[in-house]
Amino acid sequence: MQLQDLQSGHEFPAERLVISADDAEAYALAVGDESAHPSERVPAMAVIAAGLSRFISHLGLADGSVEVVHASQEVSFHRPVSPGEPIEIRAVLKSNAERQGSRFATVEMSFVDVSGAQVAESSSLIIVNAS
Amino acid sequence: MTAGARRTPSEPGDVLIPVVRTITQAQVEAYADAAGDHNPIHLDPDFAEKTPFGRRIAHGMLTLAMVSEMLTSAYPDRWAAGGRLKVRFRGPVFPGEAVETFGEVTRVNDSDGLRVAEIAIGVRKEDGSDVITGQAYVPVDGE
Repeated sequence: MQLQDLQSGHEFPAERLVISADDAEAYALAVGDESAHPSERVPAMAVIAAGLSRFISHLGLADGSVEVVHASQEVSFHRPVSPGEPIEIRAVLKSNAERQGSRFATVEMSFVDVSGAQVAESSSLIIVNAS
Repeated sequence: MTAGARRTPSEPGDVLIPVVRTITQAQVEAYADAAGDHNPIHLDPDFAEKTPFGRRIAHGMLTLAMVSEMLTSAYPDRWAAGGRLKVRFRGPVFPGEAVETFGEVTRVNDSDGLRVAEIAIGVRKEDGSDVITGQAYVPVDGE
């Protein structure tokens, strides 16, 4: 799957995301958040970060063949996520255009619990340049 | 209200307690593993040297996590349950640089019967340059 081949509106296959207590603790340690309680709730931004990383990885944007810059980010949180809780990521390529040799892509992600309720939403603008 | 006060920031002019941190390359590498983002611009010095940045940079989401930490501390029950933000990444953070978050309530709006604080947020380097700027919106009723 190559980003340049995808049209705006492309829907990615839904993915399952589970952030364990150990994963949440590793995230809190990495970002230096000593106030987090990762055994009780996943740090809010960890959910968004995991989703965005998957999108970038699936599109082959993390293999060194291109230079990727994160330009902007929107996030809405509806409720905290518990460690070990299964979440489904539904991602749509909202826009995908090339301008002056750079590709500008916006991916919107919805994070949904087992009942179908949204726990978070995000929109990420990334800029991809040939390296 | 000044930084260090304990009342929930819910009125225009209220300031959030900043998060101050020096980003290290070890932290960047730990974040890459924890978040699953192994983009070589963050990890590979040879790759990064050929980019316009000239050297490795921290993940934007790592720096943004500091903003989320600040908002979680200010609104422990509301940030992860009704909060939202919109930011632009304005410049890179290089490992070894110290950065500080900022947040100030600029207005309070009524939305569907809730009072929602609009907060100017961001992350700034020691030299005063902004690396992240934007707004957050947090319901403040009941805080």
